[in-house]
Amino acid sequence: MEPILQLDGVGYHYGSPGDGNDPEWILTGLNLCVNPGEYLAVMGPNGSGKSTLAKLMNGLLTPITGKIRVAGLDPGNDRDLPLIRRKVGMVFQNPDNQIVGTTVKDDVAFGMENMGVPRKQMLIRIREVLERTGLAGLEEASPHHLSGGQKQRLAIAGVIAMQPEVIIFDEATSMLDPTGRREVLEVMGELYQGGTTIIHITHSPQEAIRAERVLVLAEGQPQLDGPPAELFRHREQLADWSLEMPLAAELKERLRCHGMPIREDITGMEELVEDLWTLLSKA
Amino acid sequence: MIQNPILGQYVPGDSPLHRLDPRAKLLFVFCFMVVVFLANNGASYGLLAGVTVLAVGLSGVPVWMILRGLKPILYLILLTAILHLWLTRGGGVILEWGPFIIHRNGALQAGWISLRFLILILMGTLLTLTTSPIALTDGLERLLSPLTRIGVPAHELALMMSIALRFIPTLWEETDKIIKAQRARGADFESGGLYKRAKSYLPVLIPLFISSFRRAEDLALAMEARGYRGGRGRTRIRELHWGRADTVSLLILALLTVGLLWLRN
Repeated sequence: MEPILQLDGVGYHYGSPGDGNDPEWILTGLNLCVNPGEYLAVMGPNGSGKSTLAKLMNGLLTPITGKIRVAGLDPGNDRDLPLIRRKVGMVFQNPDNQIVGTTVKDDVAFGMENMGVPRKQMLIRIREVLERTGLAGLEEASPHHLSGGQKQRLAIAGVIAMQPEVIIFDEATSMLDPTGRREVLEVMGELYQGGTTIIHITHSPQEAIRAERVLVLAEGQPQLDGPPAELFRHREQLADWSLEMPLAAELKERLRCHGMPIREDITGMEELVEDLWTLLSKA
Repeated sequence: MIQNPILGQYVPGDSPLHRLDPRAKLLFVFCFMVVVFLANNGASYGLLAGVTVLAVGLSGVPVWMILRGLKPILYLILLTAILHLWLTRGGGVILEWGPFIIHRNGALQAGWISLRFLILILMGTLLTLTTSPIALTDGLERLLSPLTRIGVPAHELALMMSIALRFIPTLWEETDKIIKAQRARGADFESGGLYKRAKSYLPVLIPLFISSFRRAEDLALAMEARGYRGGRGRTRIRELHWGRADTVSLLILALLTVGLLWLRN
């Protein structure tokens, strides 16, 4: 299968090359392959280059060393850029600062207007994406009157209206309350089911375990790349990457330390509760 | 909560004036403001006043709302009226009281100028009362678009205006939040003279500016990520429809101009 995103030896640092200081490299020689339809969570401490990686993936930044291919296109090439922006959508952290339109409908249309989609088709797509994100009926509402979760779903609606193949969520849930977070995660799950490639940058292992693959970035390099269960096998190192164990995983580990027969590959609370019930009924 | 001043202007409705195309309304008001200066006697001013009253009636906006909009400008009208009363000579003295001498022409001039002011302000107010800010922005963009060839950035101006409209409520909310936060830290916004009170808002403005710049940066990035590349090749979701009523409104304007030219001395 042709990967949808391919990074070969990508390095990046901020600041111009000529300003005298030794640049501090955010990413060094990063290799990464993402296949179509994958659900990848990217984790790592602050300043580990997660957001930089996201911006490199849709051409907001161009790598200083190495090469990136996005669906076979080159973000360094100005002619490919509009197509890359269409194929790779991005949802940012702050719900307020990414809404351009004065009404919900206008904002969903913004990306499509940029692409030059005919008006008739825009109206059809707007209805469809608002339905999918649970915002139907709010077409004329002012973004300012929406809740945090609704704003973030509006941002998602604006992105999926452009029919992208990849959607990058750059800490898109970090400023939301628990309800808003759950709503956004649900939409993400549905998009993944629908075949969209999801890249979810997050601080929360709780959210990362929803993915099928977790990448931990630290010191400009991937420290870990595998299924979420892998994350919990490196429990001791998580602290080094300033990540916290989710409650279920922590509890499981401690119970296992006390010799309780609990499965090792548990990631969610439900599975843990299930195991504890079986254990209790045996006792 | 502090009141949101700008969005309070528009009164949603479905009157004939509300339904007019914003381009027609903008053109009408703009030309009207020029032809107002043609009037110079009772008959021509009467015609203008008639059209204004008609427009107020057609707008379906409660009269008290329109009058409320006039209040801040009332002092300006009064001041100019007094200056004209006092300074314009000719036509014989009609009142003399100490250093205050009122001539006939002064009284006339004061009356006409006040009326002209009132008519201008009323028309301008009607425009913003019956047209949503975003429709005004659209109208302005389309009207200016022929001028892009000579370097007028019509699309950019309209985008700037619509982003400002989008962020006004957000920034108001933020201002409110900062004021509360500073109050909680013991800031005092109420006591002292004008200078002191103005100065006490500095700790509100600085964080507000900093966060606005951060927002602007975020927004620029988000717009770029959504494929924004300037006005070229864009389609639009918001449409404007030029109907028969819009043509009629401009015909009325033409008739008004002819009428004024005929009635004035």
